[in-house]
Amino acid sequence: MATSGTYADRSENAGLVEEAFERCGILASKLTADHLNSASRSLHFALSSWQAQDFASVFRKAEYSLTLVPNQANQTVPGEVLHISKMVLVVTPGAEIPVEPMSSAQYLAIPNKTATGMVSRVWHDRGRTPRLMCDLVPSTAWVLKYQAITMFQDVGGLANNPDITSSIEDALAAELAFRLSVKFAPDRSVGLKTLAQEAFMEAKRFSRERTYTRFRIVR
Amino acid sequence: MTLTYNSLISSLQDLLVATVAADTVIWQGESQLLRDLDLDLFSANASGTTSGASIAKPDGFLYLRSPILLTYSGQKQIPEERSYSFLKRYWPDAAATGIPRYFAHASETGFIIAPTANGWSYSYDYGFRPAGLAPGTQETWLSKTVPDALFAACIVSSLRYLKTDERVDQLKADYQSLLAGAKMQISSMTHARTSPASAAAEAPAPKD
Repeated sequence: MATSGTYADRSENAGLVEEAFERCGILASKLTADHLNSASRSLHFALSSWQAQDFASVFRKAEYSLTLVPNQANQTVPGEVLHISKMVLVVTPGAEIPVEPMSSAQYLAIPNKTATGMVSRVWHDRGRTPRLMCDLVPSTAWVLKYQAITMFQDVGGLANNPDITSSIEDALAAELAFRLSVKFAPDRSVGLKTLAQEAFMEAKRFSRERTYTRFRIVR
Repeated sequence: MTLTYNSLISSLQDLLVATVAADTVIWQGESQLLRDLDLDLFSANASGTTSGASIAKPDGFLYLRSPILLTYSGQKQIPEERSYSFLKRYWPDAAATGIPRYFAHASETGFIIAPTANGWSYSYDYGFRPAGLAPGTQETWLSKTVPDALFAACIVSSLRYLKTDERVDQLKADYQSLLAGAKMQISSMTHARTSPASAAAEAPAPKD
């Protein structure tokens, strides 16, 4: 037989849930709506946990372009942005200057927070209402380009796909299986936890960036 | 020697109180034996076109014997069986359509599929209860293939109607012995139980 020739196989949330339950020893044909509700919650918490473990940083990078609002200290940042890794200020097309991140303490230490000028440092306030606080209130509608780590998208319906790449589907299935075992098959929890940790590490190793690394000896 | 309707009736009528219809006892005996043998033998095909999220079951439908094959413009799909509540949770908006992935028993007359897929052709094999012995049906597969077991099943079914019951235990034991022999004789025609986790994997109730 010929191979399929396609690369489109992706697990829906429902398929992921079924696989996880079967790893707990529960056949998919025996699942009810209550099982699905419980699994949807666990899937949400599994992804949330991965965010907290910085796993999202591997494959949830996105570039944003924010036109700064002149004469305004607070600049809006989308709620899905978890962490800003790189920033540049586009002064004129083709002329970009780096912008450094600063901590909340560094921002607090700025004596005059209403002074206007060119932005060179930004504090990403990651509170319930995320915002960017600039060291100088921008006097012009410059464009701030930044690379950010974003949240996983919501779990959504069971017919949705999880917001992950195919290479880490197994890791998510393993994580979900462990979490469901706590509720439905506690006798399997220890084993499934080990499998989940191994799958997580494999996925993390696989997802690393494969670029040349140079080391320089400084005398 | 073949067991016929007339010979069975004659034998039973000697044992039974007059008010009990021998036909009732035969029907009960056949039902008992069919359940005990767990035959996967009597089947027919059903086909048609999906109507919304529904697939019809024919009269006499007992169980699904094959996967349901759905086709639409050359696309083939074999939905997997899930519980009814699973489907309702998976595809809450029945008006929305998609490629069907699941099905469930919705009622005695139909299945439900999800996602909703109107106008797909369906085809499946199903098992049904075979016609029993009757005045116009002197022989059946059971009466020809396992006549001794059928006779014993009818005797056991008649126990509640017997004039005397000194031999109840012996008759039940005889039936079990004959049933075991009949099962060995027709073992390749019984339902396959190959799912590795089917016995152990009953889903526990969700905990709050």
